[in-house]
Amino acid sequence: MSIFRMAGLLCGVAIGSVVATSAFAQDDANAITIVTPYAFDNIDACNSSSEVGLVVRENVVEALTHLNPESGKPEPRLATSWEQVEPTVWRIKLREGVTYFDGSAFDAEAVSRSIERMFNPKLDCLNRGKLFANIRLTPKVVDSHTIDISTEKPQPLMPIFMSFLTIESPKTDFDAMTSTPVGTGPFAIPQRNAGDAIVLVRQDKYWGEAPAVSKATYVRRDESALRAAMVEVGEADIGLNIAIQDATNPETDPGYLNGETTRLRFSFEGPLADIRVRKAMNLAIDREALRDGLFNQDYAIATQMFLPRINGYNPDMKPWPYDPEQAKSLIDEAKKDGVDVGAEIPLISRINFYANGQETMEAMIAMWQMVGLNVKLQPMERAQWLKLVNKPYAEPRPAMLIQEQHDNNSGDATFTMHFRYHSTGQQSEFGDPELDRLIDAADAASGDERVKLFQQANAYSAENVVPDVMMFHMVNYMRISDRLEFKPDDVTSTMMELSQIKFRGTN
Amino acid sequence: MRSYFRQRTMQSAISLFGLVVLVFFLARLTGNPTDLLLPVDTPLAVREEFAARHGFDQPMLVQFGRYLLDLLQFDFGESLRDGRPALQMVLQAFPTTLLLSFWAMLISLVIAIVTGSIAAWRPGGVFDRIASLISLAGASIPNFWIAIVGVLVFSVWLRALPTSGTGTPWHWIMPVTVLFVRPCGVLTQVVRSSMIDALASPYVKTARARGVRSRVVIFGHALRNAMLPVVTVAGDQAAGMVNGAVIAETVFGFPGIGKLMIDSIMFRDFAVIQAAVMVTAVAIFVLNILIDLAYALLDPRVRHG
Amino acid sequence: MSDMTHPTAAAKPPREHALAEAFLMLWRDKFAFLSACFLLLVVIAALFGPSLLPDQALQMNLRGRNAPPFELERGWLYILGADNMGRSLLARLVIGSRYTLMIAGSAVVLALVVGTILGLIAGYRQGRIATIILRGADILMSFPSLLLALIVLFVLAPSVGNVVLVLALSRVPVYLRTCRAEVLEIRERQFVKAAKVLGASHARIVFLHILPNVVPTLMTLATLEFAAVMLSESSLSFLGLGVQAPAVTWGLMVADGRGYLASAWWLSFWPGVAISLTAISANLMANWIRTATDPAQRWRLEKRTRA
Repeated sequence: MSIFRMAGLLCGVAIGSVVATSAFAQDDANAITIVTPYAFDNIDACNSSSEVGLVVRENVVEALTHLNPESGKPEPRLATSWEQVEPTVWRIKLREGVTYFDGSAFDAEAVSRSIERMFNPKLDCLNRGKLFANIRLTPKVVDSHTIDISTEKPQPLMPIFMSFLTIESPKTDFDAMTSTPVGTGPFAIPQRNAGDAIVLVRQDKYWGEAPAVSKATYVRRDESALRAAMVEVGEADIGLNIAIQDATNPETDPGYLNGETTRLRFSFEGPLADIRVRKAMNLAIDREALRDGLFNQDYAIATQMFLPRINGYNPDMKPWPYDPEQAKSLIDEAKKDGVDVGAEIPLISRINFYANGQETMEAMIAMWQMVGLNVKLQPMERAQWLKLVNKPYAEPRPAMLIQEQHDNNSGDATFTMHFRYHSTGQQSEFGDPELDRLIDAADAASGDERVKLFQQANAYSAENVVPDVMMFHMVNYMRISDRLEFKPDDVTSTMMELSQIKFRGTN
Repeated sequence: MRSYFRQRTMQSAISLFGLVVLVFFLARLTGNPTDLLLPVDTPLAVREEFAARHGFDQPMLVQFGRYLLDLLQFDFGESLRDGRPALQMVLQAFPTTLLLSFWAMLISLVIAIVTGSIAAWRPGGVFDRIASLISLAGASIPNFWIAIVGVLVFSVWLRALPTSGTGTPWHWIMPVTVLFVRPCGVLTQVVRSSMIDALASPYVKTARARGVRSRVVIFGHALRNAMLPVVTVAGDQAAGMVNGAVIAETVFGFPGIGKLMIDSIMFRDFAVIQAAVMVTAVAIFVLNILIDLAYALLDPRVRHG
Repeated sequence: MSDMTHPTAAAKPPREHALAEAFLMLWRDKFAFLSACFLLLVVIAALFGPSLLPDQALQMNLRGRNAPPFELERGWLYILGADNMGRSLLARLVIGSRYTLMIAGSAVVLALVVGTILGLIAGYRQGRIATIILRGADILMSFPSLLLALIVLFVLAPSVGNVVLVLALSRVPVYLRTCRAEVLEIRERQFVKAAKVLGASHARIVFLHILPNVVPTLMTLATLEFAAVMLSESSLSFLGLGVQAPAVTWGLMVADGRGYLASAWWLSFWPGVAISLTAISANLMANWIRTATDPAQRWRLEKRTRA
């Protein structure tokens, strides 16, 4: 019967595939395996500002500068020095004696080509969309190791931008994305069939210090419990994004700020158009109880949308106090003036957004209920949620709260402030002339002046606009095998330098 | 027989076309991949540029026309996520799923037929009771329980099996187990119930009356009669698996078609969704033809319509 | 089932007497009796639970998150432990039974009815109509259920009715194909042929002669599907199509507890047990009903000594 013949065929295939794959084994003592939840679909260097950066950034393709994880200040990497020679032109000196894994030399031509490639309209480069959508960089080669980068408007942030300019080999296809990027980094991807695990191998030609890790394999597993189990039994050495409830051992499961900050955004409509209601909603939330109950002490209560290491963070701002009485009286006041405070306000949440997200929303709704506000949870799938987040908004825009999470890993406040709080910002819900003025002034300024203006804008917004319910600076956990020595920091979630990983007892 | 195949193939081709049309248009009702693939903060201009580059700004019928033209040249389009040809991605993932489902179905069927038949010999007896309880529990346990508890017990606690991944035959044990438990429970019950009917049918009674004493012969006769619903339900379970052994593939990191389909649906990676649906549909259509053939073999009175 | 008899032909005893006898037969089969008791309990919970425990299932207590089961210091409501919001699992199970039964029950019945009707047609009347129905079923079978759910979510809105629709739609082909397979076989049996020769109408043959013979297999299948439907309901909540908080179903509880299997197993264990027990009970009851109503099998329940 044909079924049986097919069965025999399949058995053959089964045995064949098992034999074929078991030939692959790793015996190198300095080889490590990293298990992540990410698919890493497209690891081209020009996507390095997404989670792809975890794999390729500074490991395979290096950037011109490197941001210090603590101070957020740019430090030399492929660029050795830089200066603003004209308001719109930066002159950059490049490191000499550096070669790519494929043998080509690193020089000004390579940098110029890499920048042009990122702006190639045939490619869907995430770096371009995320960072350089409104800023066109024009490279000009000065000599073999000096390059000028000019912009239309003065660009004080160039040294920070340079930390995102990962420079791939000049032999990279200019008109197509690649799944085997070639760079100057300490590791290389000798070969990869798209869809397979990514294997990084240490390369001997590296210009800097040789890392201890000889080979790193990145595999994907979706379940947190499984990633934790893999490290526990020794199948993997590092498990990323371990869920908070699986990170049970502080010794092996360190937490680190992942750069994300969470908030609920108000649409300024219906009862939410009244600032007293918006203030009351902030006062009604017991953030400490939320943090201690649903998260833990590693999470920080946020006063603004980015971390302290970002330019423009205002350290003097205080979190909202928990004061349900004052919240109630503000609501009463608003009610007397005819605001419909009894209206049902939808809270648009995103499904599977971040750990314990759903629980947090439910707990906040219960807190609002206690001061007499009627908020209703409306979970949405990602595509639906996205339709509500970005301008142009559909009319009429209802009164609602939107669950959001934002990461500013760039080092400067402008990415956050303009987008969310300026009247022309793509995700802004309001227009406040004074806030616009502060943000515009800060954008044009540089140095301490810039920092001060952004700090003022942040304080002004929190006091006089109240555009959101600020929540937490979020935390990721990883599980690390006890044979490794590695301490995650604030930038680990976007870039994990393998050269920082040491083996215990060997150094 | 030959005309039956020709007819069936024609019909299936028409169904396949209908399916493609349905999936093409309905999938596009569920949102735009532009928003999903680009970061939330992406400016409007960049998003419009992206949509235009991939043709999402064109009218739906134009997009469909282009897709059909490409399809005629056997071009299934490329993945939006990593630019690979969609068909290649699907064909790379399909054998894994096929193998997983094959083993799971084989084990389920063997266990179900043996257990269900013995249970049917004396309904309400001790064996029947125990078998029923176990198979019913099996039919109602959440898949991911078996998967994760399996990892915690056999990998973390006993250190007997690898947690996940592919490589050795040991890696296949847990995923196949996760897959076969539910169909096995369902099939055991179906075998049992149709065997009870079959054993009570005049067909078997006549055999007994003619003096056939051997249980094996009686079972043989009855089983043949009882197989029709079993084959149908088994076919349905198998189709469900081919369409995505999602939990097993996701938890254990098996690069199968279920996982590929979920990822593609989540990102509205239309070309891959379409290619995956087509490949699984062909498999399911073939499966259904095999089932109809099995009917004819099991019961010669059933003719092809 | 024998050719000569079908249920309608059996003589009907007086009503009260029949009830008493049915109870006696149930009592004799202890498994079926326990199943009946459990199902009764679930139905009572579904009917009266929400009014008995209106707040307990929603009362959050962040300090009592994931409280383990079998500790009485928090009160008997916490005997099964607390969930990730510190809510009583027992209370949530009771409250959750209403939507769970409503959704799973309607989805199974809807799929069963539609599938059976189409299956009867496809099996009895071969030719073009049968072909169209069967190839339609092929299409439905090959349509990814996740995509189907997303489409319903985007085109319609998340609501209990739409959950039922998605669940039912994706399960119709099973009943359809099973029913058709049975019809194909029964159609060829002597008694149907005899009825045809005697000039019985199509409707009479289908509803009086064929349907009663198809029902037992379909019932077995439907009770088995019950658990599957309760579980797939939970996977819909990943898309936001399932039941929305604060409403709760067992499937949703299983799904919510998924991330805690390694640290707090009870979160998804108890609702899983509730689903399993309900499915098992429904099945044992179905088997019992089948035996009790089948004249050829009935003796097993009447004379205990022989079983």
